[in-house]
Amino acid sequence: MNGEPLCILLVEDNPDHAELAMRNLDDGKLANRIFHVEDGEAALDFLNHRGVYADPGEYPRPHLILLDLRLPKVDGIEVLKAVKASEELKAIPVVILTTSAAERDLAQAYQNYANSYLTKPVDFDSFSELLRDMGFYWLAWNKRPW
Amino acid sequence: MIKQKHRIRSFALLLAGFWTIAIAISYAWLYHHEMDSVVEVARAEARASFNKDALFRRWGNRHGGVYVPVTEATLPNPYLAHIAERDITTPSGRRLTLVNPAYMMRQVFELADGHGDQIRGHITSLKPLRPENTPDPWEAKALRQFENGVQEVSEVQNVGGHEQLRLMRPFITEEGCLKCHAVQGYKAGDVRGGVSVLVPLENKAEYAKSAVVAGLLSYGVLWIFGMGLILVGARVVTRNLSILEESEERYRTVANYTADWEYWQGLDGSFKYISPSCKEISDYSHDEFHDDPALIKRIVHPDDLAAFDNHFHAARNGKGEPIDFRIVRRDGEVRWISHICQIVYTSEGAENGIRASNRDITDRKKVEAAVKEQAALLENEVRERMVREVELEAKNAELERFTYTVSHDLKSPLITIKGFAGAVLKDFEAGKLTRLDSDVKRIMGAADKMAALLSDLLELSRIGRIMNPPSQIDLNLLAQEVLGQLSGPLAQGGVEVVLQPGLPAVWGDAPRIAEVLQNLVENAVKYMGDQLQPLVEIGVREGEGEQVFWVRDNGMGIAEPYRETVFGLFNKLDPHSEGTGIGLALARRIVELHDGRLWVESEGPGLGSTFCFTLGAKNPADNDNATKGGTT
Repeated sequence: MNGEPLCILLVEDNPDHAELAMRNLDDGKLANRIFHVEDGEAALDFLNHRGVYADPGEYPRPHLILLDLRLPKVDGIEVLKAVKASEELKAIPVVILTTSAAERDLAQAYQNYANSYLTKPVDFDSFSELLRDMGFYWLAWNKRPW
Repeated sequence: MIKQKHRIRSFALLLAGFWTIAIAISYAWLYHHEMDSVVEVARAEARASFNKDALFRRWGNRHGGVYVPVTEATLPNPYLAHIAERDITTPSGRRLTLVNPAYMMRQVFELADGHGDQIRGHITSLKPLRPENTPDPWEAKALRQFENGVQEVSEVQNVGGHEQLRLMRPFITEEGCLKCHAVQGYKAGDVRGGVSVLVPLENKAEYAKSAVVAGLLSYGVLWIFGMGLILVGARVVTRNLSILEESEERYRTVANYTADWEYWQGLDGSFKYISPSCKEISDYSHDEFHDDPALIKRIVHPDDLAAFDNHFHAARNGKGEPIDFRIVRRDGEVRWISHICQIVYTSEGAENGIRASNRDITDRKKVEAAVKEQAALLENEVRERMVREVELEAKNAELERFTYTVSHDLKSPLITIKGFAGAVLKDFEAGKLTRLDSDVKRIMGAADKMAALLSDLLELSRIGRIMNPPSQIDLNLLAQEVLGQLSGPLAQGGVEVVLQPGLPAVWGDAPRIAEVLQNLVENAVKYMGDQLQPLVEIGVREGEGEQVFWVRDNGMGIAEPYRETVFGLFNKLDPHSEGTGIGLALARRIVELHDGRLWVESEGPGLGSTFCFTLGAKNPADNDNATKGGTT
């Protein structure tokens, strides 16, 4: 809590889900900025300052990545792999936020160094609570090296 | 063997017979020779005696007789009374009388009469001076024969119970004879009479007999020796034969009692030996092969004849590798033969033909064939199972993917609905109604999405189950129908469609193929991007042994990494695009059910895409095994 603006990168193809997530995160008033991208390719472009995301001032390095697994073009797992394979990006906590409760996905995510795995609850209150708690944990309680 | 022994015995008997006859003949000859020699010796003696007598008489003749003292035994001869000076007196007063040759001879003969075993003579004439000299009937007959020129007469006679040779020769009248016999009218050269000589044969016969007995003994010994030799010879031969036959029997038993067909073929190709088992294997007898050495080649199966010939020539050079070939038996049955052979040599090392063994391996071949067939069947089954397993795995993977996708994608709208419903409720309670409108729209959109997903899922699950029987499809007609149905969206997007005329007819489920075309054209229209002159073309090209149908657009194209992703269930490259992302998955499924493939070719983003597919389905009447699809 050093007053530095906190950024979250939300990678979510479903606009409704993205809206829900952003509303809940906004309610918690934890992040200063939430950047939303709709597919894996865009997420990697954002993180690597490529294409439309070339300006690091406009699109800074996020403090947390909220990653859906099923994404168009580049899949969520591929994005995770790319992040964790990158010296610069691998320190960023990546929280998987997905509808899938499949064991395969869970195992694959941790295999690729996901920092946390969250399944989207169908119930609205649970969804809100989950996002709030998650935000508090990673952005408030959790100590970051930068 | 018994026959052979009989032959040897007969031969021995024959030999013994010949030997006996030869000995007997030889002995008979000896016997006769000995017996003849008795007479010959006697005859020679008789002649010698006669000649001596003749010499004495001639001596007497020359002297005109001799004077001897008159004694009681020698009185003056009354038959010479006509001779002057028959009796003279010596100056000392001794009286002498003339003795002529005949008288002298008679007195000599009378001396011999006293000794039975001495040669005795008898002087005689058909006209004797002295009546005592009258011939007996045999002498008289002989004398008459002399007058006809016969020089000698002889005969063995039994005289007085003794065997004697009687020989008689004539006396020819000489000058000296006429002194006494001229009165009888004889001239010199006339047959005056004869002297018969009696030679006793008994002594000589004794000698002959002992010679004959000695001969009998030696001939007997010789005969026995010969018979012994024959007997021993016969025995030795019989024993050798037995040994030979025993040995032959051993080899014959070894050779004949074999299940394999064994033979030995001489250099001229004729059979020196052929085992009786040839009959069992080939149904041709031992004799038939012997009589016709070419038979073996004639019964080789025509398909194997070349190999057999090659082997035969190689075998002659000692390079005959074992071969298997078939023969056709007399009864037409085909049998497999395993043949192995080698050159044989005489003890001197000369080539002596080929020794071969033919084994009937028909059963083994049958088993081998059965095993091979079984193995092939098994292999086939294993292969089929593996194929099925791979198919099953693919199905399982597909099912898993499907379940996963369904659970994910169906849950998604639910989260939206419940999430926004909760938000609406919260906002409503707080009296914030600004977002109400959009939130309810989101809820409705999610519900619609869910309905669409459910409908598509139902469609997808139906594809695998419901397939119409394949029929011949005119693709041009079908494509036109599809384009007709899509005329609305096509017109809306201002899309130009070019359909290649003369597309080939295909076999398949017409409504499904129509679905494929519809999906591909819809897809092309949907991802046209910002193309100002949208164009969709449908056509066909020749691929590798198959026809490749294509639907080409000049739309946004697909980058290389996503060319496979686009066919995934519920996969969409653009999250904002319409549809559920099931169309291409559905189209691919249908094509695969027609034994075909569906893929996309693209030069890259913005350069359009070409969706290609093949159809492997065929007229089921052409091939009953053709996969009809939809059987799962």
